[in-house]
Amino acid sequence: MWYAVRIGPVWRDGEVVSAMLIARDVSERKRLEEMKDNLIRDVSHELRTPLAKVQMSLELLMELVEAAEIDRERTGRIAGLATNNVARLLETVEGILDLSRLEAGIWSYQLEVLDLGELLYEAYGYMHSLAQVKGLDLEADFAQDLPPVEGDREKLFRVLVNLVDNAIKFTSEGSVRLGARVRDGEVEVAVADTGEGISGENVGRVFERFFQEQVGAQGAGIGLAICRAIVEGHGGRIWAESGGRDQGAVFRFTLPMVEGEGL
Amino acid sequence: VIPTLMIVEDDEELHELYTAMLEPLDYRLVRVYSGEEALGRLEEVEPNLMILDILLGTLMGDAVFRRLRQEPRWRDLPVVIVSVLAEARCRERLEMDERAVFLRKPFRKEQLLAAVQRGLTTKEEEQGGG
Repeated sequence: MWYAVRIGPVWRDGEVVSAMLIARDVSERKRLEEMKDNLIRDVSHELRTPLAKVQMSLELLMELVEAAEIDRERTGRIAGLATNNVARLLETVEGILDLSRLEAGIWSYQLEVLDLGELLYEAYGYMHSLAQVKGLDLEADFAQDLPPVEGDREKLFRVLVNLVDNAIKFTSEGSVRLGARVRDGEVEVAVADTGEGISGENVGRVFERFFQEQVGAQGAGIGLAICRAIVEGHGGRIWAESGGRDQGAVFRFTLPMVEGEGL
Repeated sequence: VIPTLMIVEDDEELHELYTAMLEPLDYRLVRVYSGEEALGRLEEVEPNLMILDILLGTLMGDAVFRRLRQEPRWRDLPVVIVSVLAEARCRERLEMDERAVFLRKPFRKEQLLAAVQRGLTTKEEEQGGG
């Protein structure tokens, strides 16, 4: 908690008769200031780097195009680099805006009773080719009779896709497994991979916006922070488990079951 | 003799850009991806200049720079220090000497070429002057 305190004299008939202390709760203001500072920090790291690459690529492209003999291979590579970084920038900007909308409660949830199995298969189908391109096995491992859950189809689909995408990004060989089960009156979804893993002290921090395990390393960006906001918006919990570096990781989240189901 | 430049950068895309900017000139370029690799390959590569990013993975660029300055063999190696940090903050962190040239990201091609040229010239002048 943060307080701003003001102390002043209380006058009566030209004399100070007592002192007055006013304490104001400024926690919300401090929180907003911190959010602003974090946003500036994120913007400078996550947006400046790809912007710098785009700027450098375009400058080089102009030179390459103006050259007497165009080196098609190099021109193509540099153009590709600029295009990829513009796409990355757009994705980051969209992510920042989406997370802000979720945190500010501007985005409402369109709740409906969902067949979770169907949603998992959809996410599996959507991500399958991406895993294949990287030479990874994407496995689906869940019961056919999962109980229905109440949720926002589009947002939960995004959580699944983000988690699988993240697993693929940090796994260079092996597999990514998408699973679900009923546990203690909740449905628990898990995305397990055989990838880089997370060191013990950082397991709890991966859902922070733009968290990176090492300075300068490729970070998980904003995707996991969005996952957490959506899962918590559904009344669920999300967490990560890992045996440490190079031990793979499991990301789990829970969703409350529709009342009357599974009892 | 063609000068050898060791480029220490953990981002493959930036390596690609460095290569595109420097390759047309008469330099031998060696790509290195971490601070550990940079220190480990000094003897083998024998660089005439190092382009060193500050934000690297486990062993940061400033640690690499300090280690270089402690080694008699590499104490005088010209280093172009590249960072998104402001120059003043970098100078504080690094105790930059006259053989270290600062270059802030993002940079233009001319700025990179000028920094490399300046680093190499400083060294030549000293050698020339005996």
